[in-house]
Amino acid sequence: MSRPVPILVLATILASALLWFVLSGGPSVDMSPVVVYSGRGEALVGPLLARFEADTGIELDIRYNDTSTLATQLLAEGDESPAQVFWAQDSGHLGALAGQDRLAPIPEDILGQVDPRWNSPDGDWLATSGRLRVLVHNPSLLPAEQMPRALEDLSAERYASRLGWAPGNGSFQAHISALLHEWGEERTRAWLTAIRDGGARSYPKNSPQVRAAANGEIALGWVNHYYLHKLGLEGEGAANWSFPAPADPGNLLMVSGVGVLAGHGEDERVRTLLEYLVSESAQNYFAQETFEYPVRPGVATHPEVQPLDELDLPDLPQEWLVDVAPARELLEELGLL
Amino acid sequence: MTLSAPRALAGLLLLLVLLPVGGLVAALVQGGGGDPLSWLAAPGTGALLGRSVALAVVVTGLVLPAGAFLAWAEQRARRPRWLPPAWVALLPLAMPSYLVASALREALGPGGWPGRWLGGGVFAGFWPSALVLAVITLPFVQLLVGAALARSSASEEEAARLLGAGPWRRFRTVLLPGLRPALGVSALLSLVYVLGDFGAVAVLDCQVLTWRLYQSVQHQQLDVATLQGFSLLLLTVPAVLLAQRGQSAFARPGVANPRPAVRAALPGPAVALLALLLLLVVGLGVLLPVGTLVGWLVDAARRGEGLAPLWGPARDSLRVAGLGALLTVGLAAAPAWIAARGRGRGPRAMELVVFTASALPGVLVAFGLLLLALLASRALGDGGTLYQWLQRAGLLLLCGYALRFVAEAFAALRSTMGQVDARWLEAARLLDPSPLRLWRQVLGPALAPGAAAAFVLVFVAILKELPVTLMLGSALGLRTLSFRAFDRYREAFLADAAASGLLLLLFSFLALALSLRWRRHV
Repeated sequence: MSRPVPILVLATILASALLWFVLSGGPSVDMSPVVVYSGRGEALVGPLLARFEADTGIELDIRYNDTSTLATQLLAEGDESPAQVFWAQDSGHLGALAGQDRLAPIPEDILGQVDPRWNSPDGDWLATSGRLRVLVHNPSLLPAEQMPRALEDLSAERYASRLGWAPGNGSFQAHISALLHEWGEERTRAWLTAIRDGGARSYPKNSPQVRAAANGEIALGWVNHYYLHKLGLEGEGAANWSFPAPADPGNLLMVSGVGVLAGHGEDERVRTLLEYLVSESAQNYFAQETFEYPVRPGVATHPEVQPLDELDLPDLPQEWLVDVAPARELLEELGLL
Repeated sequence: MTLSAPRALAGLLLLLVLLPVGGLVAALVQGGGGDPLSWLAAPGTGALLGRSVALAVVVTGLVLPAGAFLAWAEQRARRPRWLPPAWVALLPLAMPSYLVASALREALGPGGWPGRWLGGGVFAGFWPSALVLAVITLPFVQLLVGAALARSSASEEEAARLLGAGPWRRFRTVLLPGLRPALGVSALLSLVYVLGDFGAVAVLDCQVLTWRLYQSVQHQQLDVATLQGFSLLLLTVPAVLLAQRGQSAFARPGVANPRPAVRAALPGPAVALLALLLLLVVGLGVLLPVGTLVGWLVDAARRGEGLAPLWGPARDSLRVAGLGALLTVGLAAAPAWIAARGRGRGPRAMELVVFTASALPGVLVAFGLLLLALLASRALGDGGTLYQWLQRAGLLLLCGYALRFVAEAFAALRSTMGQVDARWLEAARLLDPSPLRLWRQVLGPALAPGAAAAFVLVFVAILKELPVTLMLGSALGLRTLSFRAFDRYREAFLADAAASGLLLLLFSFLALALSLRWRRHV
């Protein structure tokens, strides 16, 4: 036998709650903010985007998630996607979307405001800031004079056994992709195998490695430069290290960038957003607030961050960082993914 | 046969459970050009599956006896004054697995002082993952077995004692049969939780199926991820069938107005065991993680860093968790009633679907719902209007929560409903009460402990939830505490992450405390 009254009461309560939620959270018909899928964290870019809204009066609807999950979502959504702009932590994911013709070309005059080394070679996306691949080390466990001269030295047992790395991390995979181009598959595979067999420890991401180096869990970790500064650990048991060998492929600059989804290239508000992100003011924000490398020529880096012109950067094309599939296959094959 | 309201609601729930699966199947059929089946034959797949099963079995094997013992100690034993009450072992329920795992990896590794003191290596891999997941899933057992114990009467045990039965015989023939349903469903919850967990295994570098599944999602291989998700579902089926067999042989209703048991004094070894368990569970599951978070806050204060305001995320969290839990418990009520009271294949099949589907990881639940909404939009040819409306109205989010956590609500309700004595219910009906009175005076009080447990389990689970909230809640502009903790932690803003994490824990602790208080008063 059924008991209609309690179920009806329950159903009414649920229906009213649902209605309240739908009405209070639902869309307002006459507003159409620019929808931005951001793989960059709210903590990093939220304040800058709030400033953009205040300065320009253009409203944004920002949806944060991992860059890679957003790329998967964008590909699944296709033309039905509400996204107009995709801001990716790694250029590799922008490359994946461009490869599927999902991105509209960036206007030449905006591309021209950025150092041409860092932009998409085909003009599909716009670089917004960069971070340098470095080693973070604990100087009391491994002083600077004992640090490796070149990335390739990491495969030596004395380094590999004390190294932390994050094979699941996007920057890591992009770096391996670059090495596959620079060194070829055989040499890269042998190098990775030696490090794996030497006992390198895997971490889920970069920042725990920096903390692990500072507290002595590992002697050195392979990371991006800015975590040390963000965590305030510089001089507190950890230091960054760039390879002194000339044009070493270890000293790689990874860029974050924005792409405009196909069909939205003509939207003036989107254009205003792109111009804003490479403006001097926004570039200063990246340098001073998030410890990143600005991509607009003439903007100074943070005083704690080593300027790029002090380094002998390798001349590796950005497209080498884009297609990370072969790198992932290799990492999977080696049991690192 | 007429379609009664419970049946209609149960049907609605089953439909909901199958929605994301439908979306994923459709995407798989349409295909992305690759060959997802090659994943099955790939080297390492067998090891991944084996490790997933082993982890789930080991964790469940650990938590079942430990949780039942804690529940018994909480409900039936007189503890020494120096011991904290056993309900403190429920607190890890409020902890997100990634947070516990991160804190323990840091504290128990060579870099943390407990790790240095213990002299061990890096805290990562299979056994550390099993330990972390055991600490987190143990409260499922303690809560559900505790609710069952609270509803079972001491009079039968006393009768058995008067008839000369020893403690072991009383446990085996009187107490245990009444606890079987609760033990069965809590074991299932633990199995399903471990199979679907990603947070702990990712942080502790334990390569199981979910770990690989997230890699597939992140690398635009939704079809492979779908196959991996369905493999997880298949792994759950034998566990559910086994639990059902065990229950049907022994299940038996309790009584509606139980006489409280006289609390027994604990013998020495039991006190030692209780103390050890409490130390382990609370130390690893609460004190170390909270200590780590507080440490991050202190570090930031020393450097003079400010904190971002938390009012907005707190409001968003409470709003979605409250509404989501209400909806989920409401949807689970009718199927739980049918499963608890009904006979035959229908109720069993329903139970199978509910438990199996909840092994689907959050990220696939979210993608499944998005894909289905996309299919509907494409069928209408509306250029994505329906798809975007469903997201912005919050319907997909609520569906996602309900689906993700229906097993928790179902389990808590079902074990309580199974204990309502049908004869006693019939006796009440003979008095011909109004349905409202029957509900208020008879069914309501009998079901309240289970309903409270269900609500709190789901409320706390939604507070901690991340993938569904991120994917389906972002269109609503939701910035919950779990989002804030995730966002700040990944960008290494540790003080903000810690503040969000601590507030999240405070809310979860308060919810647990309220439900415990209520449980004692009914």
